[in-house]
Amino acid sequence: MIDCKEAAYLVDKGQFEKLTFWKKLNLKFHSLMCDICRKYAKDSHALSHIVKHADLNTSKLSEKEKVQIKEELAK
Amino acid sequence: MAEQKEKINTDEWVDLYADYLFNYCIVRINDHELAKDLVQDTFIAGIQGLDKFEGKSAVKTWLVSILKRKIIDFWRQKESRKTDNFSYFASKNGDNYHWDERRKPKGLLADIDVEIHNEELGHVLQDCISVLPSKWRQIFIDKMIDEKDSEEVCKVHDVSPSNFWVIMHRAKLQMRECLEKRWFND
Repeated sequence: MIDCKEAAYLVDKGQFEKLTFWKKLNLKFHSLMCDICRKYAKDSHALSHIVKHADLNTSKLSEKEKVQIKEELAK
Repeated sequence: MAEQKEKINTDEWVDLYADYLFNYCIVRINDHELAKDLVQDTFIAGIQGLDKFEGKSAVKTWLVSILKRKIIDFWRQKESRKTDNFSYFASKNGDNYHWDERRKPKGLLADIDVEIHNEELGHVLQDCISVLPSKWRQIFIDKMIDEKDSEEVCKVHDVSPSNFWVIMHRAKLQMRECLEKRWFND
């Protein structure tokens, strides 16, 4: 039997790596009984999706800042 | 005349590459002023090293490689922050850990629509990423955002595979909580 600490770890690892048969079985069994770890798995998958699709490229330098850099470079 | 030529070049560089470099930087550093300074330093280093640039790669790629080094230097200097591990989220009952009542996952993140809130999510995520300890942050970004191979990430950051999975897991624990708090409580 695995505890929540191990289960949560396997949830995250399992997203990228194939888990061994026994680990997978342990995780399945734990998840059947543990509502919170099921929620963790749900959140963890959602987090991966959000990180992948959120727009992390929204910041821009202002025109004024660009002029400042140009002036600095011209020195 | 040579001076004139260089000046035109650098202006053009700013117009062509400043936004790209700034974006690259802000995702990893999350400090507007600092990111701007690093971009400026990158241009200066680029100008100074212009004779070393052999045109083997695109100017943009070359500038990014300079910026990367500057970002890594910045991370190295910065002390790593307080780190969370599972015992922060759970309490021990005998030999077994159970989620702490106040910190247990609520399964809410799946309700966030990333298509709709794309931009706001980007800002919140940047904040959450910025408070990860620096080593976790680099590894998390490489794996989750740049989607690099686990093996490659281990090599670049000199961590063992098992250490890598522990770091990824801890980073996700912290990111999950941060996103939940910021998105649903603020």
